[in-house]
Amino acid sequence: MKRYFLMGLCVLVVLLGAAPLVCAERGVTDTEIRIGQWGPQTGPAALWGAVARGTGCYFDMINDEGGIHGRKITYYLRDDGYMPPRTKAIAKELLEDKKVFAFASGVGTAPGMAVKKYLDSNKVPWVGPATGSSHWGYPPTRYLFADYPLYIDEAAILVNYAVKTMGKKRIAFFYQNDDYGKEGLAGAEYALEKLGMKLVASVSAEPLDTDLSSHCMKLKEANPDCVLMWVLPKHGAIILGTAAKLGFSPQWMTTSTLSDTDIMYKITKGLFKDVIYTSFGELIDSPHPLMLKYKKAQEKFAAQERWGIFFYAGFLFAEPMVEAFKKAGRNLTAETFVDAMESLKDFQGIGPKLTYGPGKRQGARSSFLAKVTEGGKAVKVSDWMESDVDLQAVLKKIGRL
Amino acid sequence: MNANSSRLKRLSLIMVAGIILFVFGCASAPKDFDPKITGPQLIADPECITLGVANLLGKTITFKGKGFKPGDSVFISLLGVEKGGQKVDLALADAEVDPTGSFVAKVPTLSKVTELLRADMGSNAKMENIVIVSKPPIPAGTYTARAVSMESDLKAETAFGIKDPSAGDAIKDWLGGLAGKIVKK
Repeated sequence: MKRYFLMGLCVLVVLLGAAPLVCAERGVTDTEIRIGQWGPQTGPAALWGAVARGTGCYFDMINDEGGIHGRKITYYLRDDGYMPPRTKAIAKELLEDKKVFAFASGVGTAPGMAVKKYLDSNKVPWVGPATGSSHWGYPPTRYLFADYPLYIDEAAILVNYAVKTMGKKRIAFFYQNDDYGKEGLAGAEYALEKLGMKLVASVSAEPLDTDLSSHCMKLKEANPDCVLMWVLPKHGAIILGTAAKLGFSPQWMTTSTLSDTDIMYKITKGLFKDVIYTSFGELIDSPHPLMLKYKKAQEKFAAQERWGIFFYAGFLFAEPMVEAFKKAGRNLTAETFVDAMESLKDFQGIGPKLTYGPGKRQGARSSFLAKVTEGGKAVKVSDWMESDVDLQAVLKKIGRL
Repeated sequence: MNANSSRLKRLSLIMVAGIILFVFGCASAPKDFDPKITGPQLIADPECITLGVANLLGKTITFKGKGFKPGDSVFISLLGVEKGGQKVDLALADAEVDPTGSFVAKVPTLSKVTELLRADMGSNAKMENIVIVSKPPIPAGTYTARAVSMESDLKAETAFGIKDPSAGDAIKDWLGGLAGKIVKK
């Protein structure tokens, strides 16, 4: 009898010992949550790679405060150089070798799209891709949560401001001939249509174009009083330089992609002054309490970094992830995490208000506008503005749905 | 006389082939899939490249695969490349697998510049694209290129040759330097 009891006890001990292994969630232990991110640390898009380092600094700050429910974040940052083949290799390595629980942010639409299906089919939570593409939230997928305002919404907000607040009557659009540029174009066209107006010109450039004289001439011939540009920083600099030479001086407006005003001011040799742009996050010198706290974290953990929009965007894009970790509690699994993300309503850190829900994966629909001033500084010219774009209609029009 | 003439002919052919190789680098007829193999396969087109900047940028390099899972996605890595005293794998190209289980993965310009040439892309004062060469390129050699599937365990390999720049490459790069498109630092 005693022998059976001891055997039974042994079996129970073995089963109980194995239980944590059976129930263990990938990338989550009693003391740790593993998070990965890819981002260009080298190559032509390295300017935006500050996002990934910013997230690292944010997690350092969270760990320094004691972590979340007794767990510290172990962060894996990999340089994908903005090259989708590398992004794929990184995603596979971090998921299958490092066993990360989730991915934070990740710069670039093409790199993100290269791994979107892979992450979703492996039930990997992914929060805050660092681009305003509609691909993240439409159609919604269970484990992916977007918190960057949509390019479609940004363009519509700019058009409404130009027409309703500034009284502009002739709007033109200069864009990169790809998904990024076309989504901005669609948002601008939608907003103008609602106002009973049309673009006076829309001119596209290829990513490798370097002479934009003919593009600028076409824009000038249409005689716009406001031009929205949806291009790379380099093309922004070229078109502003070419326009200045041609004596063409409309009100220029642009997307958050060009919101590192310090850099844009330098590469345009000051021509970026007076440009109005959409911002997804507080301005660099904002007195917002979280901005002051994050700035201190940067000074403590990443003193070598420049305090710029793309660096603290790394904090911003990961804020809802940390909030969801807090809400999910000790029982952190991919499913409890998704439930926690879906429960976020009007959550706001240093970015736009975020609301998710079942089937709702685009959390942000608002931006505010800022104007570039002397020396590459900027001032807010509006509060956060909610987009009124009917996304289903726009996405249908551009063949996305 | 006849024997001499045929020996001379053979020698001339070898010399011409040698000159072609010296001036133009490596050349090979495109390989095709082996019909006897039913599993995953990978071929490189071309099978060999030279590391001239202008030559490489103007050349289309593709990796073609078959026998993979339809709807899957793959990336192609060069295995065991020497970098900073370590052996690393370089992801060069990627593709989606079509409904027949095949794919064509083209090596993008950025991968050619940063992974193979180990150079940087930049802009000159006119904001024109230029290639900035400040480090030696990937070491020449015959590498194994591997197609790795994202969703399944399927893999396939092929040989991929990388040779130092030929004399023809050097001339092209010299001209590229004169035009300001290739900057050596």
